[in-house]
Amino acid sequence: MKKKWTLLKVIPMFLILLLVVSGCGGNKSGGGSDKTVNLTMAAWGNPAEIKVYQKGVDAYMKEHPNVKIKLVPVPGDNYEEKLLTELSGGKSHDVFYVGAETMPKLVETGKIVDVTEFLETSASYVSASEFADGLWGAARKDGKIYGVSVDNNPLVMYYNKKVLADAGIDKSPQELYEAGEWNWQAFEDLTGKLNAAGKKGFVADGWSAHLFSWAWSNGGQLYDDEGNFILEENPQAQEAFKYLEKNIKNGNFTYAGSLPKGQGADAMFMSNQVGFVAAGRWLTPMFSENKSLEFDYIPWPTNTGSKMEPAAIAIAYMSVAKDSKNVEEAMKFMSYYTSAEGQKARLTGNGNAVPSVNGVDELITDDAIPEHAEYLIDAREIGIVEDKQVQIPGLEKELRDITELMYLGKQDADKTIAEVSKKAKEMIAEHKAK
Amino acid sequence: MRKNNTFWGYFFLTPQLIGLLAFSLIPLGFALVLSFMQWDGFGEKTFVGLGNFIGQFQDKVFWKALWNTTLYTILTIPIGVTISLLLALALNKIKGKELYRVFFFMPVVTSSVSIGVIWMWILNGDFGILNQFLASIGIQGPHWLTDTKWVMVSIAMLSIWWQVGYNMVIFLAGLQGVSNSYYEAAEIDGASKFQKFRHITLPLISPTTFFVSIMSIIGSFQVFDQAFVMTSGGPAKASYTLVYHVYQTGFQNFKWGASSAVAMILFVIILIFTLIQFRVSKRWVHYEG
Repeated sequence: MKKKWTLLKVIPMFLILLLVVSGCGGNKSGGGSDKTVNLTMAAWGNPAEIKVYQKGVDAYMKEHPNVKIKLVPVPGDNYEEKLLTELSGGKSHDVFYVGAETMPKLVETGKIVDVTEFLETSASYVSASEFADGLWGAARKDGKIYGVSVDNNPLVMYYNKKVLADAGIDKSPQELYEAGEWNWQAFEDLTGKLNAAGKKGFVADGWSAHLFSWAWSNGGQLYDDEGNFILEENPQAQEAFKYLEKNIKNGNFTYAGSLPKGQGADAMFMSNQVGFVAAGRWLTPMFSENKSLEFDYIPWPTNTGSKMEPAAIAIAYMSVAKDSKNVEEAMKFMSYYTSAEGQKARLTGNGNAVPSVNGVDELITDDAIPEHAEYLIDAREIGIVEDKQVQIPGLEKELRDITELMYLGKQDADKTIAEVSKKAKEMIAEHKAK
Repeated sequence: MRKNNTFWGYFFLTPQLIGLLAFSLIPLGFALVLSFMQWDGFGEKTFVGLGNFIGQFQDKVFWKALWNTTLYTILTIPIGVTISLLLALALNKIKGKELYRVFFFMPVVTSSVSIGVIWMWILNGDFGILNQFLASIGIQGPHWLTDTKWVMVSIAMLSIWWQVGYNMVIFLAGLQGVSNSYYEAAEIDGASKFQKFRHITLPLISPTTFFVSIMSIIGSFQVFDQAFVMTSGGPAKASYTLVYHVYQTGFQNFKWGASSAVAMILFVIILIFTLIQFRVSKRWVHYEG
């Protein structure tokens, strides 16, 4: 008798073979304190940043010889996709960096550990009270903590002293600030003078952290406490749109999206082409290496009469995977990495960020360049980690696409406000209905 | 004996079969099922029937993406196919053909990301070489990538440059297959160069033209990388394509059901276009023998 090997028979057979080979294998042992514990940690960052992270990892391994931690760098562009795919497949790293915008999604999935209780135990290197309250953002939900900030980056303005002087600006932002005159009008005047002198005044970025900073510096809000979009009911926030529109139109502000990659705001700042850029501390290592560049920080200009108003804070958290085989050890490492000791190990001598934990601010204020490094600390104390917009997946991108038309001078502020409100309300309603 | 042969046949096919199953057939089936579900990547999947499809048809963004993709197709296919054919004709009979073929083919084997980055420099509005060249002949070039009117044209332009080599090679192969005896016969009858092209070359390479246009249309409906690298679908969604919409809906907004639905719609669109082409092709494609 001839037996036929048909596809129908062969495929299931090989599938079974595949399963056997790929090994739905037994549990690897984990856990005992004297045994070697292997952890992996995922993070995004450029090579210089990865080196900085490694310092934090090494410091921990030195104290705990039985723990081996492998740092796995992941490209930032698709970090979120990779992280979520791995988590959904139950194959994630033990600890990982989480961007502020990814946090709500992760909390929702229930795949990361609630570390509230752990942080208060003696095994933890750090407790929740050591962090400024404004820094928790979406990492704290209903009083529960799902991630601890590794450091943070409050937005401030960098100004190029030489460009300002060359444009005939005699009263520096610093002097204006001290005199209590560092406001939107002053910023418009200064960028106007720069523009008239053939330089770029300020590089405006489509990133919503900028938009929030403008709204907040006018005492405005885009979202209420329940996460509803309230731009149309909030004249201060609307004013921010109009202020941007006006200054884009008259050429004082240049839209970052019209600059090519690699020739962005930072490069123009270094080549003395632009007077002001807004960023966290991440530009400082590069700027301070350039000895001929004279720059300083100044807080975000306000329009409320107050000397300082909140600006946005960019932040990253570290979370622990629920599926980790060594949750205890992973939490311990996470607490070390984010503790004063851990942040000091990382941020000493490099400084692309500001410590988020109390007690190590001298890392910033000891800086010789720029002169007013303490503004970073001030900005952190007063600043806000946005936690409403990030709750709605994709909303940032949608709003950015709409406001981009205004930044490109193709849509006025009123239309932009109407369009943005319509889209935001739609997406929020859809998300809440889920 | 025969049984054994069949077994070993399948056995040696397995690596390929497993690949096909794991990376094509199973995901394809999964996507089809997902397109009728609501799923955020974690947790429960709920069956929503045609909800995802209806949702897309009511979504302005979907239509915008569809229009952008269609515009891209209209901009790239006729011009791209014509240029590749002309190039192939030019290269068909000249010396050093191999060298030119390599030159024109080089962009095809270059990664889309590097091409995107290079073209971002070329197309930069303020100091890109394209605008500098235009300025030197007295034309003020637009901001190619940041102007909503020009961005799709820019992407089409670079895609034509990128893909022309591939189509050219296919056309060259087609031209090589045209027997010289037809031309000799035509010459004896006193046919002009154009007549020879119109009545001999074109009909005889029509299967190649058919193949090239089908593949190009399929490819152009799947345009993604260029927009992703150079413009992120902007400014203001002016270069937001269907595949970008699939990516954005799934990987960024975590609506896997809706994302799969768009992918299925895209599949149907491509299928329809291909069927139409096959239908129409009977009138203009001539197979020898």
